[in-house]
Amino acid sequence: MHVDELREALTEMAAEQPAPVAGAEPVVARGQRRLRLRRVSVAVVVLAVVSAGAGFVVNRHVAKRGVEVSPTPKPALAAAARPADGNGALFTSSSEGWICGDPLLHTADGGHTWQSGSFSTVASGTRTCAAVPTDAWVLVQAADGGLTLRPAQGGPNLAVTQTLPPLPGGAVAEQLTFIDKNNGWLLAVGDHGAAKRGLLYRTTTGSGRMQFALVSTEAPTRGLQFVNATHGWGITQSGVLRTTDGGTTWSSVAVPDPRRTVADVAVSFDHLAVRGATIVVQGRNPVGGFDMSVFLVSTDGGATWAERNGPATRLGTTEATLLAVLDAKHWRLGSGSDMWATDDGGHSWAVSALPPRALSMSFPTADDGWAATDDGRVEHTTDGGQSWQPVDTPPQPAWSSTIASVPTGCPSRAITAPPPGEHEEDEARRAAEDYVRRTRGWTGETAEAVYPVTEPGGRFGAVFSTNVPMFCGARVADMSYGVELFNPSITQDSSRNTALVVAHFADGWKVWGFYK
Amino acid sequence: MGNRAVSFTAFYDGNYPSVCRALALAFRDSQRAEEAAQEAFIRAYVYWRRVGRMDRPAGWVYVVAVHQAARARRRDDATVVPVAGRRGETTAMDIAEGVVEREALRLAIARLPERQRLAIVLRYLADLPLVDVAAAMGCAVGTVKSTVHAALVRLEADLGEEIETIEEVHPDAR
Repeated sequence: MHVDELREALTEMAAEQPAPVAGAEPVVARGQRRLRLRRVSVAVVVLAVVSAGAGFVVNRHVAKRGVEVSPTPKPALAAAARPADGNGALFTSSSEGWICGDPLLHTADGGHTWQSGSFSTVASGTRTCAAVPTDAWVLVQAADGGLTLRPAQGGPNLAVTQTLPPLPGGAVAEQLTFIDKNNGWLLAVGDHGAAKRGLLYRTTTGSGRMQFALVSTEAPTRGLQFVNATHGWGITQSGVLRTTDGGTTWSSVAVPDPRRTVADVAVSFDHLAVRGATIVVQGRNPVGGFDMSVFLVSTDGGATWAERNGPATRLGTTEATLLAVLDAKHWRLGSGSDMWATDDGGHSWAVSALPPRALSMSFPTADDGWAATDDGRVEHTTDGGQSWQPVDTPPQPAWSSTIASVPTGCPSRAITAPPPGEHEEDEARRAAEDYVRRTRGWTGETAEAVYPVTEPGGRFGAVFSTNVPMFCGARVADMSYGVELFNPSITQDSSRNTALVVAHFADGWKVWGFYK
Repeated sequence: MGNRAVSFTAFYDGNYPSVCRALALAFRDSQRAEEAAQEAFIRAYVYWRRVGRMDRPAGWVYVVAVHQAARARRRDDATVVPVAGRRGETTAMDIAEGVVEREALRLAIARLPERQRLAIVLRYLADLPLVDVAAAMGCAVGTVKSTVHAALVRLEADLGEEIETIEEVHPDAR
C-alpha cells in the first residue's frame, strides 16, 4: 500500500465529518471585539502570563562550525524593530532619529526638538521606513498596490514622490532597508502556491531618481538586514538565511549543534537584528501550549553560532515581540507591556516596562531608548527602560483621540478635540459624532437589536438580538475596524458580551455598520 | 469592510472547513473541533497583520487550533463523538477487494491512539511540514517523526501489509 492511499482514506474520513456551519462574519466580529478588549486588558493579561511562566530550560550549544561572512563587516543600522504600518521609531544615534508616522518626524538633538514632514504630501497606505544618518525613506503601498517612495534628505522634508513599478502578483512591500545613501533593498512578500516567498529588489542609484531591480525571488520573507553591500541576513518563518552577493543568492545558516536542526532550535523565527559583527535571531518554541523565546546569536559575523535562552516568560502562541540589539551583550526584547533586557548576551534577563501599545522600539545605547506606539505616542527612556517619559512631538495621527457628544442619560466625560486635518479618519469621526448627536444615543429599549446601515445615517437592519446599551459617544480606535460607539459607564466584559459595540466601515468611512 | 476583514475572510473561507474536519477526525469530536477552529481563526484575525504575512498562515491556525482542542479536552473531558460515516458495515463478500482494503484502512485509522492519529492527520491530511506538526503537538520534530512512524507501524500491523512512504523533504523540515 502506498502512503497516498492513506491520504485518500484520511480525506474521505474528513469529508464525512459534520460540515462546519459558521461563516466568516461572526468570527470577524468576535475578532474585532477581541482586538478592542485586548488593548484594554493587555497589561492584566501580560501580568498573568508572566506570573505563570517558570522553569524553562533549553540546552545551550556552542557551535563548532558555522558559516563564513565578510571578516570586517561594516556597522549596521540602528537595530530597530520593523516599523511596519507606520509610527516606527528609527534612531541612528542618541541624537538623531526618525518616527515613521504621519507626519514623518525627525530630531537631530536627542528629541528636544522635532521637525515634521508634510503629511499631505505622503500618499495614504501602508508605510515602511528606513533610515541612515541624516537620510530616511518612506515607502507607501496604497490599497491598490501602487508604490510610492519619498526620500527625506538631511531632515524631514520629503523630496519629490517617486512612483515605483507595481509589485507582481499582489505582493506586499514588507521591508525597506538601506546601508547608506546609495545602497538599499526593498523586500516584498508574495504568494508562491501555499507558501510565501520573498522578492528582493535592490537599488544602488543613490539620490535622485532611485531605481530598484529584482535580484532574487527566493529571498527571506522578513528580518532583512545588510551589513554592507554584499553581506546580509534574513529569516523565514522557520529558518535563517544569509547572502554574500548583495541578495542574489541565499543559503541557510547551520545551527550550532550538528545533531540538531533549525527546527529543533525554534519552530518559527520572528526577528533578526545586526549590529556590527553581532547577529541575533529571535525565535519561539512551544512549551506546554505557550511559546518561549529562544535566540541564535553570532558575535563573529556569522562564523560561529550559539543558542541562548530567552527570558523565563511565556509568550503565548500569538504574542508579538520587538527586538533591539545594541551589541554582543546588550539586547532588548519587548513583549506586551514588558521589556526584557540582557546585558550579558542572553545569559540572564531582567524585566522592566514597555509603553503600552508599543509598535516599535529603538535603542541607540543601552540606556537610551525610544518607543513609538500605534496610537501616535513617542516615549523615551534614559535608564534602560526602567521608566519611560512621553515625548512632546508634533501631532501624530488621531487614532486614540476621543470625541464625544453626550446624549441625555450618559455620564459626562472629557472630550478631546481631534487635531485639525482633512483626513479620512476625521471625516469618519465627524460622521459618527453626527450620528450620535442626531440619535442622542441608541438604546435597546426600543428594539432588541442593533442594526447595520447601508449608508451614513441610513436605515438599519437587525444584526443581533440582545439589549444594547445607549451609546454616549464615538471614537476612532483603529481605522482598520472603524468607529467605536461607547458607553463609558459600562464595564467591558467579554464573557457577557455587554458593552463593546463597534461601528465598522464597509467601504472606507462612507458605509458603516455595527458589530457587537 | 476593512482590508483586514477582506483578506481574512478569503483566508477563512478557504481554510476553515478543512481545519474543522481535520480536527474532528483527529479528536473524534466535531463540536470540540469546531470550537477550537473558531478560536484559532478569531486569534488569527486579531493577529492578522502578523499571521497574514506568515509563510503558512494555515499552519499557524492548525497549531493554535490543536492547542485549543487539547486544552479543552483537559478542561472538560468532552464527550467523545464517534467518527461519522459507515464503520464495519461492509462485508468482504459483496464488494470489491479494493473497497474492503480501504474500509480496513479507515477502521485502522479510527483505532489509532489519538496522538498518533493527530500526527498522521496533520502530516498527511493537512499536509503540514514537520515543524508545524511539532509546534501543534508541542514536541520536537524528531518526536513527530517517531510518532508518525509508530502510527504507520500500527496501521501496517492492522492491515497486514507494508505502507510505502517516500518521506517528503519539506524545506522547512530540514
